[in-house]
Amino acid sequence: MTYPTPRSRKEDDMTDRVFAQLKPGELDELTEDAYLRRRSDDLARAFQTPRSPQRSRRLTMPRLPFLITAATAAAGIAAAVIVVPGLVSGDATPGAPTTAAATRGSQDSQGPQTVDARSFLLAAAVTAAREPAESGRYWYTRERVIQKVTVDEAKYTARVKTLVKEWEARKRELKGKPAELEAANKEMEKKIGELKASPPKVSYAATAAYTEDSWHARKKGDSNRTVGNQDVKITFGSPEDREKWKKAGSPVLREDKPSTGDLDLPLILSIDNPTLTIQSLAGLPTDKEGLERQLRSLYGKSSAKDRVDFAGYLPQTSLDLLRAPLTPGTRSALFKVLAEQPGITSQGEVTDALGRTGVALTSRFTSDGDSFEFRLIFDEESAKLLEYSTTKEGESSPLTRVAYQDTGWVDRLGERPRD
Amino acid sequence: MVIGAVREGLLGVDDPEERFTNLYDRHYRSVLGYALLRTEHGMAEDVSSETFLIAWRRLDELPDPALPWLLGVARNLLAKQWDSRHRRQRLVDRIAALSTSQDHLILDIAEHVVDRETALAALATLPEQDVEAMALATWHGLPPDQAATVMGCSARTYNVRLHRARKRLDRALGAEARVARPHPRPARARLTEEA
Repeated sequence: MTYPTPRSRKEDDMTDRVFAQLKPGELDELTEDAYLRRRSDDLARAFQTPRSPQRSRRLTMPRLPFLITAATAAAGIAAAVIVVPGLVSGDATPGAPTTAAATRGSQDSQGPQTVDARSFLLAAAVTAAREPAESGRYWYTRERVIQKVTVDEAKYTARVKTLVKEWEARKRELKGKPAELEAANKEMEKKIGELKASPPKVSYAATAAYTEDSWHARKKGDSNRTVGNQDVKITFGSPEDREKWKKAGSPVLREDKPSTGDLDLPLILSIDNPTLTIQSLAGLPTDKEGLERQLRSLYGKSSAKDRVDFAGYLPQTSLDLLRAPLTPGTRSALFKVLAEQPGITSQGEVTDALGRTGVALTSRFTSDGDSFEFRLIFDEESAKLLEYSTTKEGESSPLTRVAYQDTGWVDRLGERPRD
Repeated sequence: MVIGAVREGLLGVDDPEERFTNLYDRHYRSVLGYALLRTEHGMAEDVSSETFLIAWRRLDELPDPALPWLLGVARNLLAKQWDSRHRRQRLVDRIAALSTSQDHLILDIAEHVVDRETALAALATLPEQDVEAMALATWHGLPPDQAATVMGCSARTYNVRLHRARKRLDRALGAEARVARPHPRPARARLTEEA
């Protein structure tokens, strides 16, 4: 009758019932609303999409926003955007402009070494084809991510709490007056809704940078691992921004604690093309014509085509492919396909977020009425992908900036490539 | 027409469009509800649409019951985006974000009188997978084998997580209840209760 006794059914029930009550009541309403709103579009979209006769390595599959960030920034609470300053390693000065930012201003025409995009890509195709084919059990990637802090989470939470307190007080006042109480409830709902729709923005310029390692299993069934939130660094646009942050109570802008996640399900490499898997990459064509046909077919079935034209889709899908373990043949073919695309221009030599020099190739696309610049930086010698970034037109710093620090095959989870 | 069609709305129907529509009508809300507890609204809707598009393409391969499979696809889409453009959020943060004034501030259950915030704080101390295990059982009503399918683990592993989650949550809540209990339980322990 003392501990440790096995847990009783009754205890489990009690805990489950407490947990059950934590489910947000609003959830059912939200899902019903979305169901009614999206049903006809979702069904129509499905019926227009060919069904696969069997599980095959035909790479179809659709859509979805690489640019969800932009679409949801308006609605979302935790939407984060990315920015540059002070990011170059060893750069201790917050907000110091990076070389990249400086170079961007100068555009293609007057970089120290102007490289023509097409020539660079054709050269890259040759380089890529020469690389030895490698393999291993896990594809390892280390990336440095920089995100601009936009929503003031602390303030948001505090406001919700204040509203709830006010409401509780009001309810006590209105006890026994059902009509007024009902009105007060409505008013409260409205206020919460407004707060959610436009959450408080931070009043200071700050970016949160962190490193993430990932291991993607080559074989289905092996587990995958990510270790995020490493080397978290918060950078303020200026000392004034730091002061403002302090005045706001020095809220935690990104948890400075590595987080490990192990996942057993196969990984999706490209949100625009969810059927692409590490396994299916090996079957991609290794000739330019074949690969382009494949990519156009992918695009045709992707509802990315509702948002962007092929010229906008291609660079982003290329990014998804280039950071994945492509065969040298496919990688080479991809560079050739890109070389033929109009709308890709070179910005010449730039410096990436980790201070490495590379050649920047830029394209543009429009999403939700906003125009964006999409930039890939490649190492000039090895043609390896160094960084990608997305910048909203008219803004000086990128929305998203991710630098690939290390990639390669390893044989064990947690292991890093040698050399 | 077969009994199976009644059960899952799928088995007895030959027409793919009809089968898919049944599937969608039956499970869309569950899939979105699941996604909403992991990411913000716009993304959650997109992921749900995407999940059903994949289901459409794989319609002939869908297991029965289909819901665990659908949730697994959604989970996959949410969790594995290789890049960091859209981070998955912690369940407990999503609960907090979605909670409104209509959710009771006080949970009054059996001998426990627990402040919602305290309960959420207790939840926040649990590993994400444990919270997810509880959510699949309690909110989505999935039996262990189906919940394990969603989480991509064995039923055994799932049961371990669920057991551990209950134990930890119980302990955290128990500590709170001991603080709360010296007070006589007022008639309106729930602030939301009207006279």
